[in-house]
Amino acid sequence: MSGTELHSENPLREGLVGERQPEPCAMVIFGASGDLTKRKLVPALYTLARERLLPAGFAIVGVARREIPFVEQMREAVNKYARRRPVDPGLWSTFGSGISYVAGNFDDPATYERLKSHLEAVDAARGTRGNRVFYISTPPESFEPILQNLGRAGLISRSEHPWTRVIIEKPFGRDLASAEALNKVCLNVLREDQIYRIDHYLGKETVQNILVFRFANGIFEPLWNHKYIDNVQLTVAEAIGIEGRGNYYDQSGTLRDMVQNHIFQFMCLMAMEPPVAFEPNAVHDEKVKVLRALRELPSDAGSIADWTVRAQYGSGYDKGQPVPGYREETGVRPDSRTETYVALKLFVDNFRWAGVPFYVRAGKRMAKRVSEIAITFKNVPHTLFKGPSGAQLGRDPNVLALRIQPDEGINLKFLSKVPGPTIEPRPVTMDFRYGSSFGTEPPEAYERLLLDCMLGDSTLFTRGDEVLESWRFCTRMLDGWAAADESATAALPSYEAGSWGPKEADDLLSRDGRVWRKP
Amino acid sequence: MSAPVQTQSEAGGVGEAPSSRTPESGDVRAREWQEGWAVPVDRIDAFTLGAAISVEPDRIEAELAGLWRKAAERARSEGARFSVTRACLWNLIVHSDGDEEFLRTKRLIDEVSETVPARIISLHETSESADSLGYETPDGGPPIRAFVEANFRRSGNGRREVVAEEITLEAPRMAGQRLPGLVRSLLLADVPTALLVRNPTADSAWLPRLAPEVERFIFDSARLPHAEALVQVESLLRSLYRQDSNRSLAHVDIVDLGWLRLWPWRVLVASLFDSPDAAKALREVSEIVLHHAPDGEPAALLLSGWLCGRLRLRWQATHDRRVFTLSSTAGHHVRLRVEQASVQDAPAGIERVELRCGGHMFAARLQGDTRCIALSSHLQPERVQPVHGRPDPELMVAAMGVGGRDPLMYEALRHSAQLVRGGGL
Repeated sequence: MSGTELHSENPLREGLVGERQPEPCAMVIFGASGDLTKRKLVPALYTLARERLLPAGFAIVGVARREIPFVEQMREAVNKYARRRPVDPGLWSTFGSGISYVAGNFDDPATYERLKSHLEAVDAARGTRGNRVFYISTPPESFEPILQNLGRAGLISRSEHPWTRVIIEKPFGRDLASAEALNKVCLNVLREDQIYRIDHYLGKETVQNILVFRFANGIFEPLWNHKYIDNVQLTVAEAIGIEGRGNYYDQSGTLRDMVQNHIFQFMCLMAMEPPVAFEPNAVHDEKVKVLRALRELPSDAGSIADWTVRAQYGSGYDKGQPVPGYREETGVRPDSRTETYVALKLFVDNFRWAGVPFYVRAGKRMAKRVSEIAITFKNVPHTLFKGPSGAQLGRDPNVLALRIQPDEGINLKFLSKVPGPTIEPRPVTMDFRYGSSFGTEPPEAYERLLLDCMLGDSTLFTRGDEVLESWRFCTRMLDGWAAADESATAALPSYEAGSWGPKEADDLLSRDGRVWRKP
Repeated sequence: MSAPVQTQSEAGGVGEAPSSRTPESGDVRAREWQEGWAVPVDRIDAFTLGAAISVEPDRIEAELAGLWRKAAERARSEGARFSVTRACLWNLIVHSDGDEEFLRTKRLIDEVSETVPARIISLHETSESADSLGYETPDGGPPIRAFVEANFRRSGNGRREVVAEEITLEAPRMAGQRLPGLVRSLLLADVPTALLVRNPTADSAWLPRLAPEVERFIFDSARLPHAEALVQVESLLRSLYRQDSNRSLAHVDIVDLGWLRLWPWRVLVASLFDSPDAAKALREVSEIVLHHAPDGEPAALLLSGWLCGRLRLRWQATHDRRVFTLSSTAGHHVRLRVEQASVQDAPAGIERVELRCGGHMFAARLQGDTRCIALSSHLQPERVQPVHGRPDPELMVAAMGVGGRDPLMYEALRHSAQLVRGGGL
């Protein structure tokens, strides 16, 4: 960690190990009129203030095109979306007084001149000492002009004191070329350690717990390899559809929206080697090695279907209510070939994972909302137990399921003897539920990530080479799909809304003699 | 989950339905006649509903094994109503002195067991004499009565999950010396043992014999009858647990719930000195003033002990009852005043903490009757921070987690005892 926590000289801080308080700083949010600011960012910052985790000198500066009553809107937003509601008037008197707003176009240099003067005034009034976090929560096309204008206006300091950090929301590019171009723009004005590419899934407690589970327990890591593991299934299923975002989603699709970022991050944490330290670069190094070890998929139109399945949801029912198919959604082209479901068969070609398939699936309008990693262990080499007809008993493999959301937790399925005079093995599960085993409520992902950024800890963010490696892999897949589309006339496979996906995805596993879990 | 109830001892026999919660008040020994027991239930139903079942003290393990087995069978046949998973992360020994404290403690452990599955061994010392109970034991000594019950929690869909067990051992105070042997036999192997004694200064025969067996000793300085009891607690802990070379108690984690309540005050006072200029000013502290609610004197002294320990201040003299002169390692004198404030209700019993450093005041003060603390100094704008007290069950859960291990607590206790005693660290 780069260590910008306070109190090294303060003897009263000694022993207050649970408290991590950053140096005074101002957080400038570009795209401040957007939903993310209202629903997540400012409520998360308010909760941090409530938990005494923000520094005494702290300020929020919103930047967006329109003139809006920003402070009032943020108070309403906190009242509506903060983890602790309603707003505490006493706390708001301090927190709210640090919120301000600058209106202006992102590509207009004058906006940045005004912002610069405004921030200088904030430094004087709030004691933020020139430390800045710029949070870019805008459509991707604005990333580049914002970064360039911040640089030109002298708003980015490359020094350690005062410091500047920039958080960039996803999507970080839409293919390898665009990700490389954006990375270059970032590195023109910032050092890599000043760039915080955010993937909010990494802020979830259960995702962080993958590392603790693997590397703080003695019993699992010896089994965590091809000798004992048969296959791994990663699922990110959403019950909702595209929720009125047809224009955006039809340009994006599930691979870009879910797989390239969230699922690959899960997979890295699940598959990586132990880092030498729990320190940002050591963790990033190991994650990059996993991505580099991914076996390349064929990019020709004929073979890609052996490894990947794309599909679109058709009409069906959600909680008993009829819902339209993807191509009938507003903003979606009637002949769209954008996938709302992806299933992949991947291999991590290294010593640990040789020959172990990683089955990945993600989609919208699936049977339920669930994200999990399920590790299926190999069966015992010989079955002792037989039923009355001579059939072998006890062939159910052990499965360890790491549930990311909802009902966060871990369960282990194993066989146990049914009490009685015969030997009848039956699967039972041991459950750990994150929510009920600890007395405290886990923080929202954005609370953790915003705090980490202010503290200069990028462990739970994504480094540039990670993003590029994952795009390298996904772009090859996108190329293969594009080639297939050129020769295809039929629609993509379809699956019923509210189901677990298309038959083709089942076939992907059945060819290997396996089936998808029903999480 | 409820207070003990006598039911018929045969499995499948008909008793009375238990109330689902611990009774609010009343004589707990009359609980078998209380209202709320309208539906006849058998022994297994009583167990899965959380009612206490009377058992012979030498049959506790056997009875529990049978009850768990039969409850699991019934859960399989009536799985929609409840599930049975026997779990245990701790042995938790809880002591209560008298019926009132017993009821209060039961409500606490009902809630704790929803979060931390534990074998709870509840020691209930009563004030009655052996004769009044009408029992006679073979050795002529006063009797121990035992009850077992299940603790459960509600899952998200409202289903009862029966997860843990509670054993109540009830004995007249004069029979307290008979408890440690029985308790030792009931401790589960391979899980740590915690002992909760709200007021460890009360005279007890069993505490010195049982305390060395536990990994975590939990008490509550805010429940001490007076500030002088801090000296007794510090002395008792020293006698129970030996010290290592750093003068901390080795081999056992000491947790004070009162200390955990002080956490927000410690954080807020510390935050006044985060900037380099403020940290520098702190080295020139000349006066410390703490104001406390009427029942907050032990907390105020404990917080003073923390400041003394962190700032390397040693007691020099006591003037009025709670006015002290301290000396720093640099040799300058610091005046400490601990005063009672008019406020009745304050977070953790503290109303105000002020430190005068180099002619400037750094203060954390409760704002009126709100639960907000205003932080002020000449180095930064005033800011307001709400302080929401944590309920006792939440503190207990913290005490049984990693948050309970805090070596600074013992340092603060030693310094606070020194202030009360007047020297002799």
